Amino acid sequence: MIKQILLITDGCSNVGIDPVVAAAQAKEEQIIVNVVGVLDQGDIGEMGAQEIKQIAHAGGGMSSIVSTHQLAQTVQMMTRKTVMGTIQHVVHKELKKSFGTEHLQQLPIDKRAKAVEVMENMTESIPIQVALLIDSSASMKSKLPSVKEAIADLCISLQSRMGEGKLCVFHYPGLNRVDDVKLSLDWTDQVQHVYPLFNKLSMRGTTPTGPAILHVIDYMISSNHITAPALKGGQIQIEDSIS
Amino acid sequence: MNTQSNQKMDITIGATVQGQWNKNKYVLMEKLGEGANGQVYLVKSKQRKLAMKIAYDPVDLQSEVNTLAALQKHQDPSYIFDVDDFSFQHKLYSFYVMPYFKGISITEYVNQNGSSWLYVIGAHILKQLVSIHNKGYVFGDLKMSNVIVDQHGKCQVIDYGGATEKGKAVKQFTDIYDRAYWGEGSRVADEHFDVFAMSMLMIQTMNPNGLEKAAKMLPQHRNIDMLRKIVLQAQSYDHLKPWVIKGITQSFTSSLEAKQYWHQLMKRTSSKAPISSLHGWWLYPAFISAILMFLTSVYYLLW
Ligand SMILES: Nc1ncnc2c1ncn2[C@@H]1O[C@H](COP(=O)(O)OP(=O)(O)OP(=O)(O)O)[C@@H](O)[C@H]1O
Ligand SMILES: [Mg+2]
Repeated sequence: MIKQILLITDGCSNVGIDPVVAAAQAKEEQIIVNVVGVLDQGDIGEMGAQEIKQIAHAGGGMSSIVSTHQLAQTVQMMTRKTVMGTIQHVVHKELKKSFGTEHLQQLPIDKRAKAVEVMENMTESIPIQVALLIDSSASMKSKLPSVKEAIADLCISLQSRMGEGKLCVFHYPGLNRVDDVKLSLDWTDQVQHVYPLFNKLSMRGTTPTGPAILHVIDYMISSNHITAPALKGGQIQIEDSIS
Repeated sequence: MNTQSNQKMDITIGATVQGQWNKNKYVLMEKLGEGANGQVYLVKSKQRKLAMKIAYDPVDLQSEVNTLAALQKHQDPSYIFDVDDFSFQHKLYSFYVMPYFKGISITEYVNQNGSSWLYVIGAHILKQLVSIHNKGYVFGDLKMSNVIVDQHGKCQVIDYGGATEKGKAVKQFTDIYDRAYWGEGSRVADEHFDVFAMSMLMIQTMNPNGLEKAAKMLPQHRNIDMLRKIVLQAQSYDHLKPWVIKGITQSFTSSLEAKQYWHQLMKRTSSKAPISSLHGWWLYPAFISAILMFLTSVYYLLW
Protein backbone atom coordinates (compact mmCIF):
# COMPACT_ATOMS: atom_id res chain seq x y z
CA MET A 1 0.00 0.00 0.00
CA ILE A 2 1.26 3.45 -0.86
CA LYS A 3 0.16 6.29 1.37
CA GLN A 4 0.65 9.83 0.26
CA ILE A 5 -0.26 13.24 1.65
CA LEU A 6 -0.43 15.85 -1.05
CA LEU A 7 -0.36 19.36 0.32
CA ILE A 8 -1.53 22.19 -1.91
CA THR A 9 -0.73 25.63 -0.55
CA ASP A 10 0.24 29.11 -1.65
CA GLY A 11 2.33 30.41 1.15
CA CYS A 12 3.77 30.14 4.57
CA SER A 13 2.30 28.49 7.61
CA ASN A 14 1.80 30.82 10.54
CA VAL A 15 0.17 28.89 13.36
CA GLY A 16 1.09 25.86 15.43
CA ILE A 17 3.74 23.20 15.12
CA ASP A 18 6.37 23.52 12.39
CA PRO A 19 5.05 21.72 9.26
CA VAL A 20 8.54 20.37 8.57
CA VAL A 21 8.43 18.50 11.87
CA ALA A 22 4.92 17.26 11.08
CA ALA A 23 6.11 15.99 7.69
CA ALA A 24 9.01 14.14 9.30
CA GLN A 25 6.44 12.47 11.53
CA ALA A 26 4.48 11.38 8.44
CA LYS A 27 7.57 9.81 6.95
CA GLU A 28 8.09 7.98 10.21
CA GLU A 29 4.63 6.47 9.66
CA GLN A 30 5.49 5.45 6.08
CA ILE A 31 3.40 8.23 4.61
CA ILE A 32 5.07 10.25 1.85
CA VAL A 33 4.44 13.99 1.81
CA ASN A 34 4.45 15.86 -1.50
CA VAL A 35 3.87 19.58 -1.73
CA VAL A 36 2.59 21.75 -4.55
CA GLY A 37 2.92 25.49 -4.24
CA VAL A 38 0.32 27.11 -6.44
CA LEU A 39 0.12 30.68 -7.66
CA ASP A 40 -1.91 32.63 -10.21
CA GLN A 41 -0.09 35.90 -10.41
CA GLY A 42 2.69 37.13 -8.25
CA ASP A 43 5.10 35.26 -6.17
CA ILE A 44 5.01 32.67 -3.48
CA GLY A 45 7.77 34.50 -1.62
CA GLU A 46 11.17 33.33 -0.50
CA MET A 47 9.87 32.08 2.83
CA GLY A 48 7.01 30.14 1.28
CA ALA A 49 9.26 28.57 -1.35
CA GLN A 50 11.78 27.50 1.29
CA GLU A 51 9.12 26.00 3.50
CA ILE A 52 7.53 24.05 0.65
CA LYS A 53 10.86 22.51 -0.21
CA GLN A 54 11.65 21.64 3.37
CA ILE A 55 8.28 20.05 4.07
CA ALA A 56 8.66 17.77 1.04
CA HIS A 57 12.23 16.94 1.95
CA ALA A 58 11.28 15.99 5.50
CA GLY A 59 8.31 13.99 4.22
CA GLY A 60 10.40 11.97 1.77
CA GLY A 61 8.53 13.44 -1.17
CA MET A 62 8.92 16.09 -3.82
CA SER A 63 7.83 19.67 -4.27
CA SER A 64 7.05 21.97 -7.11
CA ILE A 65 5.77 25.50 -7.50
CA VAL A 66 3.41 25.84 -10.43
CA SER A 67 0.71 28.09 -11.83
CA THR A 68 -2.95 27.09 -11.61
CA HIS A 69 -3.16 25.72 -15.13
CA GLN A 70 -0.30 23.27 -14.48
CA LEU A 71 -1.83 22.02 -11.26
CA ALA A 72 -3.73 18.97 -12.54
CA GLN A 73 -0.72 17.74 -14.46
CA THR A 74 1.61 18.26 -11.51
CA VAL A 75 -0.64 16.37 -9.10
CA GLN A 76 -0.82 13.46 -11.58
CA MET A 77 2.89 13.44 -12.13
CA MET A 78 3.76 13.54 -8.43
CA THR A 79 1.44 10.68 -7.64
CA ARG A 80 2.83 8.61 -10.48
CA LYS A 81 6.41 9.31 -9.43
CA THR A 82 5.66 8.52 -5.81
CA VAL A 83 4.28 5.15 -6.81
CA MET A 84 7.14 4.43 -9.20
CA GLY A 85 9.68 5.59 -6.63
CA THR A 86 8.34 3.38 -3.88
CA ILE A 87 8.21 0.40 -6.17
CA GLN A 88 11.67 1.02 -7.55
CA HIS A 89 12.91 1.10 -4.01
CA VAL A 90 11.53 -2.38 -3.39
CA VAL A 91 12.68 -3.67 -6.74
CA HIS A 92 16.15 -2.24 -6.23
CA LYS A 93 16.49 -4.18 -3.02
CA GLU A 94 15.56 -7.35 -4.86
CA LEU A 95 17.96 -6.57 -7.67
CA LYS A 96 20.71 -6.03 -5.20
CA LYS A 97 20.03 -9.42 -3.67
CA SER A 98 19.91 -11.17 -7.04
CA PHE A 99 22.58 -9.33 -9.01
CA GLY A 100 24.64 -7.40 -6.51
CA THR A 101 23.66 -4.12 -8.12
CA GLU A 102 20.63 -1.91 -7.91
CA HIS A 103 21.39 0.16 -10.98
CA LEU A 104 19.23 -0.79 -13.89
CA GLN A 105 21.93 0.24 -16.33
CA GLN A 106 24.35 -2.30 -14.87
CA LEU A 107 21.94 -5.10 -15.71
CA PRO A 108 22.16 -6.78 -19.08
CA ILE A 109 19.35 -5.63 -21.37
CA ASP A 110 17.32 -8.85 -21.17
CA LYS A 111 17.24 -8.86 -17.35
CA ARG A 112 16.29 -5.21 -17.45
CA ALA A 113 13.20 -5.95 -19.50
CA LYS A 114 11.92 -8.34 -16.86
CA ALA A 115 12.71 -5.99 -13.97
CA VAL A 116 10.79 -3.13 -15.57
CA GLU A 117 7.89 -5.40 -16.41
CA VAL A 118 7.62 -6.41 -12.77
CA MET A 119 7.80 -2.75 -11.73
CA GLU A 120 5.03 -1.80 -14.09
CA ASN A 121 2.74 -4.58 -13.01
CA MET A 122 3.20 -3.52 -9.43
CA THR A 123 2.57 0.11 -10.37
CA GLU A 124 -0.70 -0.91 -11.96
CA SER A 125 -1.93 -3.06 -9.12
CA ILE A 126 -0.61 -1.72 -5.83
CA PRO A 127 -3.26 -0.07 -3.63
CA ILE A 128 -2.89 3.69 -3.29
CA GLN A 129 -4.27 6.12 -0.73
CA VAL A 130 -3.91 9.83 -1.34
CA ALA A 131 -4.97 12.37 1.28
CA LEU A 132 -5.15 15.81 -0.27
CA LEU A 133 -4.61 18.61 2.16
CA ILE A 134 -5.82 21.93 0.80
CA ASP A 135 -4.80 25.27 2.21
CA SER A 136 -8.00 27.30 2.10
CA SER A 137 -6.74 30.47 3.67
CA ALA A 138 -8.18 33.62 2.08
CA SER A 139 -5.51 33.98 -0.63
CA MET A 140 -6.37 30.54 -2.04
CA LYS A 141 -9.93 31.45 -2.99
CA SER A 142 -9.31 32.16 -6.67
CA LYS A 143 -7.32 28.94 -7.02
CA LEU A 144 -9.87 26.53 -5.64
CA PRO A 145 -11.58 25.77 -8.99
CA SER A 146 -8.24 24.60 -10.35
CA VAL A 147 -7.60 22.61 -7.20
CA LYS A 148 -10.93 20.88 -7.62
CA GLU A 149 -10.18 20.12 -11.26
CA ALA A 150 -6.84 18.60 -10.28
CA ILE A 151 -8.49 16.40 -7.65
CA ALA A 152 -11.16 15.21 -10.09
CA ASP A 153 -8.47 14.44 -12.62
CA LEU A 154 -6.44 12.45 -10.10
CA CYS A 155 -9.57 10.58 -9.10
CA ILE A 156 -10.20 9.48 -12.69
CA SER A 157 -6.64 8.24 -13.01
CA LEU A 158 -6.77 6.32 -9.76
CA GLN A 159 -10.04 4.78 -10.84
CA SER A 160 -8.57 3.70 -14.17
CA ARG A 161 -5.92 1.50 -12.59
CA MET A 162 -6.45 -2.16 -11.88
CA GLY A 163 -5.42 -1.80 -8.25
CA GLU A 164 -7.44 -0.04 -5.63
CA GLY A 165 -7.02 3.73 -5.42
CA LYS A 166 -8.80 6.11 -3.12
CA LEU A 167 -8.49 9.70 -2.12
CA CYS A 168 -9.82 11.92 0.60
CA VAL A 169 -9.72 15.69 0.93
CA PHE A 170 -9.05 17.87 3.93
CA HIS A 171 -9.03 21.62 4.06
CA TYR A 172 -7.68 23.94 6.68
CA PRO A 173 -8.18 26.12 8.62
CA GLY A 174 -11.52 24.81 9.85
CA LEU A 175 -14.32 26.96 11.20
CA ASN A 176 -13.53 27.10 14.88
CA ARG A 177 -10.15 27.74 16.26
CA VAL A 178 -9.67 24.39 17.98
CA ASP A 179 -10.82 22.57 14.94
CA ASP A 180 -7.77 23.27 12.84
CA VAL A 181 -8.56 21.05 9.91
CA LYS A 182 -11.72 19.73 8.33
CA LEU A 183 -12.49 16.61 6.34
CA SER A 184 -14.24 17.80 3.19
CA LEU A 185 -14.43 14.46 1.41
CA ASP A 186 -14.07 11.00 2.93
CA TRP A 187 -12.29 8.14 1.11
CA THR A 188 -13.72 7.73 -2.36
CA ASP A 189 -12.89 6.53 -5.84
CA GLN A 190 -15.91 8.20 -7.47
CA VAL A 191 -15.24 11.37 -9.39
CA GLN A 192 -18.79 12.65 -8.97
CA HIS A 193 -18.09 13.00 -5.25
CA VAL A 194 -15.37 15.49 -6.06
CA TYR A 195 -17.48 17.98 -7.99
CA PRO A 196 -19.47 19.46 -5.06
CA LEU A 197 -16.23 20.14 -3.12
CA PHE A 198 -15.58 23.61 -1.73
CA ASN A 199 -18.93 24.91 -2.89
CA LYS A 200 -19.74 26.52 0.41
CA LEU A 201 -16.50 27.29 2.07
CA SER A 202 -15.76 30.29 4.22
CA MET A 203 -12.18 31.35 3.84
CA ARG A 204 -10.07 32.44 6.76
CA GLY A 205 -6.77 34.09 7.24
CA THR A 206 -4.59 31.69 9.23
CA THR A 207 -2.49 28.90 7.81
CA PRO A 208 -1.91 26.16 10.41
CA THR A 209 -0.12 23.79 8.05
CA GLY A 210 1.74 21.81 10.71
CA PRO A 211 -1.26 20.91 12.86
CA ALA A 212 -3.21 20.06 9.72
CA ILE A 213 -0.57 17.55 8.59
CA LEU A 214 -0.58 15.88 12.01
CA HIS A 215 -4.34 15.56 11.87
CA VAL A 216 -4.24 13.90 8.46
CA ILE A 217 -1.56 11.45 9.60
CA ASP A 218 -3.82 10.33 12.44
CA TYR A 219 -6.72 9.97 10.09
CA MET A 220 -4.75 7.87 7.61
CA ILE A 221 -3.46 5.58 10.30
CA SER A 222 -6.83 5.06 11.90
CA SER A 223 -8.85 4.51 8.74
CA ASN A 224 -8.59 1.01 7.41
CA HIS A 225 -10.61 1.43 4.29
CA ILE A 226 -8.21 -0.33 2.04
CA THR A 227 -7.09 -3.69 3.27
CA ALA A 228 -4.34 -5.19 1.22
CA PRO A 229 -0.97 -6.74 1.88
CA ALA A 230 1.61 -4.17 2.81
CA LEU A 231 4.49 -3.49 0.49
CA LYS A 232 7.38 -5.29 2.07
CA GLY A 233 10.38 -6.52 0.21
CA GLY A 234 10.06 -10.04 1.53
CA GLN A 235 6.49 -10.51 0.42
CA ILE A 236 6.96 -9.79 -3.20
CA GLN A 237 8.31 -12.62 -5.22
CA ILE A 238 10.16 -10.81 -7.91
CA GLU A 239 13.46 -12.50 -7.34
CA ASP A 240 12.45 -15.61 -9.21
CA SER A 241 10.87 -13.77 -12.04
CA ILE A 242 13.89 -11.58 -12.65
CA SER A 243 16.68 -14.07 -12.36
CA MET B 1 13.19 12.69 -5.34
CA ASN B 2 12.88 15.88 -7.25
CA THR B 3 10.45 16.95 -9.93
CA GLN B 4 13.08 18.51 -12.12
CA SER B 5 14.68 15.06 -12.41
CA ASN B 6 17.80 15.19 -14.51
CA GLN B 7 16.18 16.68 -17.56
CA LYS B 8 19.46 17.95 -18.85
CA MET B 9 21.39 16.27 -21.54
CA ASP B 10 24.73 17.60 -22.59
CA ILE B 11 25.21 15.75 -25.81
CA THR B 12 27.16 17.26 -28.67
CA ILE B 13 26.12 17.07 -32.29
CA GLY B 14 28.88 15.47 -34.32
CA ALA B 15 29.99 13.20 -31.49
CA THR B 16 30.35 9.47 -31.96
CA VAL B 17 28.85 7.29 -29.25
CA GLN B 18 29.17 3.57 -28.67
CA GLY B 19 26.80 1.20 -26.88
CA GLN B 20 28.31 -0.47 -23.83
CA TRP B 21 26.72 -3.87 -24.47
CA ASN B 22 26.28 -4.32 -28.22
CA LYS B 23 29.22 -2.09 -29.20
CA ASN B 24 27.45 -0.42 -32.14
CA LYS B 25 28.74 3.03 -33.02
CA TYR B 26 26.58 6.02 -33.95
CA VAL B 27 27.38 9.52 -35.12
CA LEU B 28 24.91 12.08 -33.78
CA MET B 29 23.91 14.21 -36.76
CA GLU B 30 21.03 16.39 -35.68
CA LYS B 31 18.42 16.74 -32.96
CA LEU B 32 15.00 15.72 -34.33
CA GLY B 33 12.90 16.62 -31.34
CA GLU B 34 12.30 16.22 -27.67
CA GLY B 35 9.46 15.52 -25.30
CA ALA B 36 8.63 14.62 -21.76
CA ASN B 37 10.68 11.43 -21.83
CA GLY B 38 13.79 12.30 -23.70
CA GLN B 39 15.38 13.52 -26.90
CA VAL B 40 15.48 12.03 -30.36
CA TYR B 41 18.49 12.37 -32.64
CA LEU B 42 19.17 11.62 -36.26
CA VAL B 43 22.16 9.28 -36.21
CA LYS B 44 24.33 7.59 -38.76
CA SER B 45 25.53 4.05 -38.43
CA LYS B 46 27.27 2.15 -41.22
CA GLN B 47 26.13 4.73 -43.77
CA ARG B 48 22.53 4.33 -42.66
CA LYS B 49 20.39 7.14 -41.28
CA LEU B 50 18.45 6.12 -38.19
CA ALA B 51 16.70 7.78 -35.26
CA MET B 52 17.91 7.35 -31.68
CA LYS B 53 15.68 8.02 -28.69
CA ILE B 54 17.69 8.86 -25.60
CA ALA B 55 15.75 8.78 -22.35
CA TYR B 56 15.89 10.93 -19.25
CA ASP B 57 15.03 7.84 -17.24
CA PRO B 58 16.18 4.31 -18.13
CA VAL B 59 13.01 2.84 -16.62
CA ASP B 60 10.79 4.81 -19.01
CA LEU B 61 12.95 3.78 -21.94
CA GLN B 62 12.85 0.12 -20.99
CA SER B 63 9.11 0.31 -20.58
CA GLU B 64 8.72 1.66 -24.10
CA VAL B 65 11.13 -0.96 -25.45
CA ASN B 66 9.14 -3.72 -23.74
CA THR B 67 5.98 -2.52 -25.42
CA LEU B 68 7.67 -2.29 -28.81
CA ALA B 69 9.07 -5.78 -28.37
CA ALA B 70 5.63 -7.14 -27.53
CA LEU B 71 4.10 -5.42 -30.55
CA GLN B 72 6.91 -6.52 -32.78
CA LYS B 73 6.49 -10.17 -31.93
CA HIS B 74 3.76 -10.43 -34.52
CA GLN B 75 4.90 -7.65 -36.77
CA ASP B 76 6.53 -7.65 -40.19
CA PRO B 77 9.23 -4.98 -40.47
CA SER B 78 11.32 -4.50 -37.37
CA TYR B 79 11.06 -1.22 -35.52
CA ILE B 80 13.80 -1.50 -32.90
CA PHE B 81 17.30 -1.95 -34.27
CA ASP B 82 19.26 -1.64 -31.08
CA VAL B 83 18.78 -1.09 -27.34
CA ASP B 84 21.79 -0.06 -25.29
CA ASP B 85 23.48 2.57 -23.12
CA PHE B 86 26.36 4.83 -23.99
CA SER B 87 28.43 6.99 -21.74
CA PHE B 88 29.14 10.56 -22.69
CA GLN B 89 31.17 12.92 -20.53
CA HIS B 90 30.95 10.51 -17.60
CA LYS B 91 27.18 10.17 -17.78
CA LEU B 92 25.36 7.03 -18.82
CA TYR B 93 22.42 7.35 -21.21
CA SER B 94 19.96 4.62 -22.22
CA PHE B 95 18.73 4.61 -25.78
CA TYR B 96 17.03 2.66 -28.50
CA VAL B 97 17.40 2.97 -32.25
CA MET B 98 14.49 3.00 -34.70
CA PRO B 99 13.95 3.88 -38.36
CA TYR B 100 14.21 7.55 -39.23
CA PHE B 101 10.97 9.00 -40.58
CA LYS B 102 11.46 12.09 -42.65
CA GLY B 103 8.40 14.25 -42.82
CA ILE B 104 6.23 17.01 -41.46
CA SER B 105 3.16 17.37 -39.26
CA ILE B 106 -0.41 16.71 -40.41
CA THR B 107 -1.29 20.41 -40.32
CA GLU B 108 1.72 21.39 -42.38
CA TYR B 109 1.06 18.65 -44.88
CA VAL B 110 -2.58 19.53 -45.34
CA ASN B 111 -1.77 23.23 -45.64
CA GLN B 112 0.81 22.53 -48.33
CA ASN B 113 -0.99 19.85 -50.31
CA GLY B 114 -4.71 20.41 -49.84
CA SER B 115 -7.37 19.37 -47.39
CA SER B 116 -8.35 16.19 -49.23
CA TRP B 117 -5.12 14.65 -48.04
CA LEU B 118 -6.55 14.42 -44.57
CA TYR B 119 -8.57 11.44 -45.79
CA VAL B 120 -5.41 9.62 -46.80
CA ILE B 121 -3.61 10.55 -43.60
CA GLY B 122 -6.51 9.46 -41.43
CA ALA B 123 -6.70 6.12 -43.19
CA HIS B 124 -3.02 5.51 -42.51
CA ILE B 125 -3.42 6.31 -38.85
CA LEU B 126 -6.48 4.08 -38.51
CA LYS B 127 -4.66 1.23 -40.16
CA GLN B 128 -1.90 1.49 -37.57
CA LEU B 129 -4.35 1.79 -34.68
CA VAL B 130 -6.29 -1.29 -35.79
CA SER B 131 -3.06 -3.23 -36.02
CA ILE B 132 -2.00 -2.21 -32.50
CA HIS B 133 -5.47 -3.01 -31.15
CA ASN B 134 -5.38 -6.45 -32.73
CA LYS B 135 -2.29 -7.16 -30.68
CA GLY B 136 -4.07 -6.33 -27.45
CA TYR B 137 -2.61 -2.86 -26.97
CA VAL B 138 -3.81 0.73 -27.13
CA PHE B 139 -1.54 3.48 -28.46
CA GLY B 140 -2.51 6.01 -25.77
CA ASP B 141 -0.64 9.21 -26.60
CA LEU B 142 -1.90 9.92 -30.10
CA LYS B 143 -1.34 13.61 -30.86
CA MET B 144 -0.10 16.03 -33.49
CA SER B 145 3.59 15.76 -32.59
CA ASN B 146 3.44 11.96 -32.60
CA VAL B 147 2.46 11.62 -36.25
CA ILE B 148 4.96 12.18 -39.06
CA VAL B 149 3.68 12.55 -42.62
CA ASP B 150 6.11 11.82 -45.46
CA GLN B 151 6.08 13.44 -48.89
CA HIS B 152 3.60 10.90 -50.24
CA GLY B 153 1.05 11.53 -47.50
CA LYS B 154 1.95 8.29 -45.85
CA CYS B 155 2.20 8.65 -42.15
CA GLN B 156 3.86 7.02 -39.26
CA VAL B 157 2.72 7.03 -35.66
CA ILE B 158 5.71 7.46 -33.34
CA ASP B 159 6.38 7.47 -29.60
CA TYR B 160 5.14 4.26 -28.01
CA GLY B 161 5.72 5.62 -24.49
CA GLY B 162 1.96 5.77 -23.99
CA ALA B 163 1.15 2.36 -25.45
CA THR B 164 -0.66 0.26 -22.86
CA GLU B 165 -2.11 -3.22 -22.66
CA LYS B 166 -5.89 -3.16 -22.96
CA GLY B 167 -7.59 -2.97 -19.58
CA LYS B 168 -4.75 -1.18 -17.78
CA ALA B 169 -4.46 2.53 -17.05
CA VAL B 170 -3.16 4.49 -20.06
CA LYS B 171 0.49 5.25 -19.31
CA GLN B 172 0.81 8.59 -21.04
CA PHE B 173 -1.72 10.92 -22.58
CA THR B 174 -2.03 14.57 -23.50
CA ASP B 175 -4.91 16.60 -22.14
CA ILE B 176 -6.76 17.81 -25.23
CA TYR B 177 -6.74 14.32 -26.77
CA ASP B 178 -7.73 12.63 -23.52
CA ARG B 179 -11.42 11.74 -23.26
CA ALA B 180 -11.35 12.12 -19.47
CA TYR B 181 -10.29 15.75 -19.94
CA TRP B 182 -13.55 16.30 -21.80
CA GLY B 183 -15.58 14.43 -19.18
CA GLU B 184 -16.13 11.50 -21.53
CA GLY B 185 -14.93 8.51 -19.59
CA SER B 186 -12.03 6.82 -17.88
CA ARG B 187 -8.36 6.38 -18.67
CA VAL B 188 -8.67 2.63 -18.92
CA ALA B 189 -6.98 1.54 -22.15
CA ASP B 190 -9.62 0.53 -24.69
CA GLU B 191 -10.05 1.04 -28.43
CA HIS B 192 -12.36 4.01 -27.93
CA PHE B 193 -9.59 5.88 -26.15
CA ASP B 194 -7.49 5.92 -29.32
CA VAL B 195 -10.43 6.58 -31.65
CA PHE B 196 -11.38 9.52 -29.45
CA ALA B 197 -7.83 10.89 -29.61
CA MET B 198 -7.81 10.43 -33.36
CA SER B 199 -11.09 12.39 -33.58
CA MET B 200 -9.51 15.18 -31.58
CA LEU B 201 -6.58 15.17 -33.97
CA MET B 202 -9.03 15.60 -36.83
CA ILE B 203 -10.85 18.42 -35.02
CA GLN B 204 -7.52 20.11 -34.45
CA THR B 205 -6.90 20.03 -38.18
CA MET B 206 -10.45 20.98 -39.17
CA ASN B 207 -10.99 23.83 -36.72
CA PRO B 208 -7.85 24.59 -34.71
CA ASN B 209 -9.03 27.93 -33.34
CA GLY B 210 -12.33 26.56 -32.12
CA LEU B 211 -10.59 23.75 -30.30
CA GLU B 212 -7.98 25.97 -28.73
CA LYS B 213 -10.64 28.19 -27.23
CA ALA B 214 -12.68 25.28 -25.90
CA ALA B 215 -9.68 23.58 -24.32
CA LYS B 216 -9.09 26.62 -22.12
CA MET B 217 -12.58 26.49 -20.60
CA LEU B 218 -13.17 25.38 -17.04
CA PRO B 219 -13.88 21.67 -16.70
CA GLN B 220 -17.61 22.10 -16.04
CA HIS B 221 -17.94 23.80 -19.44
CA ARG B 222 -15.82 21.34 -21.36
CA ASN B 223 -18.07 18.71 -22.81
CA ILE B 224 -19.16 16.79 -25.81
CA ASP B 225 -21.76 19.33 -26.96
CA MET B 226 -19.08 21.94 -27.19
CA LEU B 227 -16.90 19.60 -29.25
CA ARG B 228 -19.81 18.79 -31.53
CA LYS B 229 -20.35 22.49 -32.16
CA ILE B 230 -16.70 22.96 -33.06
CA VAL B 231 -16.91 20.12 -35.55
CA LEU B 232 -20.02 21.53 -37.21
CA GLN B 233 -18.48 25.00 -37.39
CA ALA B 234 -15.47 23.78 -39.37
CA GLN B 235 -15.30 25.46 -42.80
CA SER B 236 -14.46 22.39 -44.84
CA TYR B 237 -14.26 18.64 -44.39
CA ASP B 238 -18.03 18.17 -44.48
CA HIS B 239 -17.65 14.52 -45.41
CA LEU B 240 -15.53 13.85 -42.35
CA LYS B 241 -17.87 15.39 -39.83
CA PRO B 242 -20.13 12.36 -39.26
CA TRP B 243 -17.07 10.21 -38.58
CA VAL B 244 -15.64 12.66 -36.08
CA ILE B 245 -18.96 12.94 -34.25
CA LYS B 246 -19.13 9.16 -33.97
CA GLY B 247 -15.56 9.12 -32.73
CA ILE B 248 -16.06 11.62 -29.93
CA THR B 249 -19.34 10.08 -28.83
CA GLN B 250 -17.57 6.71 -28.85
CA SER B 251 -20.30 5.10 -30.93
CA PHE B 252 -18.15 2.84 -33.08
CA THR B 253 -18.11 -0.71 -31.79
CA SER B 254 -14.39 -1.06 -32.55
CA SER B 255 -11.54 0.70 -34.30
CA LEU B 256 -12.04 -1.71 -37.18
CA GLU B 257 -15.56 -0.39 -37.64
CA ALA B 258 -14.20 3.15 -37.40
CA LYS B 259 -11.73 2.30 -40.15
CA GLN B 260 -14.37 0.78 -42.38
CA TYR B 261 -16.63 3.80 -41.98
CA TRP B 262 -13.69 6.07 -42.80
CA HIS B 263 -13.12 4.15 -46.02
CA GLN B 264 -16.76 4.55 -46.98
CA LEU B 265 -16.48 8.32 -46.57
CA MET B 266 -13.27 8.29 -48.57
CA LYS B 267 -14.89 6.54 -51.49
CA ARG B 268 -17.54 9.23 -51.56
CA THR B 269 -15.00 12.05 -51.67
CA SER B 270 -12.38 10.59 -53.94
CA SER B 271 -14.88 10.73 -56.80
CA LYS B 272 -14.40 14.48 -56.73
CA ALA B 273 -10.65 14.68 -56.12
CA PRO B 274 -8.95 17.86 -54.89
CA ILE B 275 -9.66 19.78 -58.08
CA SER B 276 -12.79 21.74 -57.26
CA SER B 277 -11.80 25.36 -56.85
CA LEU B 278 -8.85 25.72 -59.21
CA HIS B 279 -8.98 27.20 -62.67
CA GLY B 280 -6.55 26.21 -65.37
CA TRP B 281 -5.12 23.47 -63.21
CA TRP B 282 -4.20 21.45 -66.28
CA LEU B 283 -1.46 23.99 -66.93
CA TYR B 284 0.46 22.77 -63.94
CA PRO B 285 2.21 19.45 -64.35
CA ALA B 286 3.10 19.46 -60.67
CA PHE B 287 -0.53 19.74 -59.82
CA ILE B 288 -1.50 16.90 -62.08
CA SER B 289 1.10 14.68 -60.56
CA ALA B 290 -0.15 15.69 -57.13
CA ILE B 291 -3.63 14.55 -58.06
CA LEU B 292 -2.30 11.33 -59.46
CA MET B 293 -0.38 10.77 -56.30
CA PHE B 294 -3.49 11.45 -54.26
CA LEU B 295 -5.61 9.06 -56.28
CA THR B 296 -2.93 6.39 -56.08
CA SER B 297 -2.82 6.74 -52.31
CA VAL B 298 -6.56 6.54 -52.05
CA TYR B 299 -6.63 3.54 -54.32
CA TYR B 300 -3.87 1.81 -52.40
CA LEU B 301 -5.62 2.33 -49.10
CA LEU B 302 -9.03 1.25 -50.23
CA TRP B 303 -8.24 -1.98 -52.00
N1 LIG C 1 11.77 7.89 -35.72
C1 LIG C 1 11.72 9.23 -35.80
N2 LIG C 1 12.01 9.86 -36.95
C2 LIG C 1 11.95 11.21 -37.02
N3 LIG C 1 11.64 12.03 -36.00
C3 LIG C 1 11.36 11.47 -34.81
C4 LIG C 1 11.37 10.05 -34.64
N4 LIG C 1 11.04 9.78 -33.36
C5 LIG C 1 10.81 10.97 -32.77
N5 LIG C 1 11.01 12.00 -33.61
C6 LIG C 1 10.86 13.43 -33.28
O1 LIG C 1 11.19 13.65 -31.91
C7 LIG C 1 10.08 14.16 -31.17
C8 LIG C 1 10.06 13.59 -29.77
O2 LIG C 1 9.94 12.17 -29.81
P1 LIG C 1 8.99 11.35 -28.85
O3 LIG C 1 7.58 11.82 -29.01
O4 LIG C 1 9.25 9.92 -29.05
O5 LIG C 1 9.55 11.81 -27.44
P2 LIG C 1 8.83 11.83 -26.03
O6 LIG C 1 9.80 12.37 -25.05
O7 LIG C 1 8.24 10.50 -25.74
O8 LIG C 1 7.69 12.89 -26.28
P3 LIG C 1 6.30 13.12 -25.57
O9 LIG C 1 6.46 14.33 -24.74
O10 LIG C 1 5.42 13.35 -26.77
O11 LIG C 1 5.91 11.88 -24.84
C9 LIG C 1 8.87 13.81 -32.01
O12 LIG C 1 7.81 14.71 -31.81
C10 LIG C 1 9.42 13.88 -33.44
O13 LIG C 1 9.42 15.21 -33.90
MG1 LIG D 1 6.09 9.92 -25.03
